[in-house]
Amino acid sequence: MNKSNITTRTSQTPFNLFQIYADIWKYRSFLLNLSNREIEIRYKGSFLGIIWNFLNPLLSLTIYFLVFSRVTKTEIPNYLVFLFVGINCWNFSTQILARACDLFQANGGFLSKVYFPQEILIISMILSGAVNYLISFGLIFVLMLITKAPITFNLLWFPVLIILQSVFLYATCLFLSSIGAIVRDLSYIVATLLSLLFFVTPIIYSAETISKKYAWLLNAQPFASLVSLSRDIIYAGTHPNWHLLLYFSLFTLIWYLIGHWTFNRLRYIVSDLI
Amino acid sequence: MSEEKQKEIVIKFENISKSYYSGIKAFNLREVFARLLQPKDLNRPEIKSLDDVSFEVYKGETVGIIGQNGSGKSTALKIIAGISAPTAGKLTLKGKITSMLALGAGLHPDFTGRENIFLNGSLFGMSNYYLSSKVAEIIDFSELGEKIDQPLRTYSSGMMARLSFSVAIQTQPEILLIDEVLAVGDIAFQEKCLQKFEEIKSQKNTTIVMVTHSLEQAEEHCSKVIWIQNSKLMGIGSPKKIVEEYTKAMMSH
Repeated sequence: MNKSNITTRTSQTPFNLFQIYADIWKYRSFLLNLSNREIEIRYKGSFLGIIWNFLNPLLSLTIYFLVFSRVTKTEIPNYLVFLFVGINCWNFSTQILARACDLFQANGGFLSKVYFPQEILIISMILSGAVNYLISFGLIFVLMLITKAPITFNLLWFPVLIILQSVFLYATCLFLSSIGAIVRDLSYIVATLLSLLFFVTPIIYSAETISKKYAWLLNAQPFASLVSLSRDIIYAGTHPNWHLLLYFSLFTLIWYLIGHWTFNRLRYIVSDLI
Repeated sequence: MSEEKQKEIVIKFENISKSYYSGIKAFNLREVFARLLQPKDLNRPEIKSLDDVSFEVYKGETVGIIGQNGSGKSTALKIIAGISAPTAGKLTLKGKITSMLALGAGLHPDFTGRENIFLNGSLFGMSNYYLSSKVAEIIDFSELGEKIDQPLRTYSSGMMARLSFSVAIQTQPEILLIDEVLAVGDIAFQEKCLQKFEEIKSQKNTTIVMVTHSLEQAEEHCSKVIWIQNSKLMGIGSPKKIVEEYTKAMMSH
């Protein structure tokens, strides 16, 4: 008798990462199709299509740039690129996190009807977001050429940062999506928190201008770490700050493990509620 | 009874219970505060959907689950499908499962029928590579013809069900779960689906578990019937006997 074929189910949901990812791997075609769908839906039926990908950040960038460089007169050199790197990195996070809390409700239609690993919904959302982030990087590159910003081989760190940020967002979404399906208020709380976080993250200013001594404290906040690391490689043209990179990687790893454990505990409560 | 010996158990329910917490539904901050102030509300009754249910299903059987609305039939299917987990008890399964609990789940209105074959098919766990080798067969079975390259929002609900069924049937399951999905679509297509079931049964010895309200269907197509009433198992056995008991119980109400 083929034993590998036998599955048992009880009220316990074992936190076996190997098994969870083996299952996700089986559904990889679905993951691919769902991500494609996400990207296509965004542009299907819209007149300007993929141009919105550039137009949106460009518009908000123009407003911020006018306000902060003309009205408040910042002393940061090449503020345009400085600002753009920060805003882009921030947008990648918030666009995903804003949707995370309602993710399962929005897809409830098939979540409660067909079996598939629920993580796939989160992964596909992040994959399509990462693709957009990568595309918008093209715009930064053009800006860097125009403003004669340093273009170095350190830019090759960018894919590493995208992966790291994606894992961090994945971990955060594991918390938000599962808890958000149970506590419906979470999406409002997260929306408020995000608008506060924007100001505690060095996006429109740099951590050093606040206080050279306590810049590390500000950078310890994960969203700030991400912006700082991105600025190291894209704006400053140096290698990423090793200490910060190490700190953030460790933080992400632990955050992910707790996140997935929580998600796994709530897995069936979520599908019963949807 | 040499035949009995060869019977292989593919689904085994051992004392399975399932409760839903009535309180947790629409759980929000206001309710959390309200509950903190009124602790006795914390002990709100649970909704029992299955109560200590045990049964076995053998390989190649077609099992019908009958019972009134809300008796726990669909919950049983959801637990087998892996969408829901039991609160107590143990379920043992053997083989690849495909669940058709609702047709049309995961279809997207803006995409064409053809694009939806891949989206829907991969949702059932099939690979894009496998699906592209089956596309012609799926379109043929769905009888959609030229319509397949038009967006799904131009489809009628019957056409959508036909497309979804044609995709799902390609999974070549060892265990197939069906929840009243045959109620959609016209009679001709229903008949075609039932024929398809017979076909895959004879080819692959597939086990089918179906929830049905049609007692005729249960008697005609099932080799065994399970009757669930008020979340308890009332009877299991030959279709004729169980349907008779069920009808008698319903009449006396």
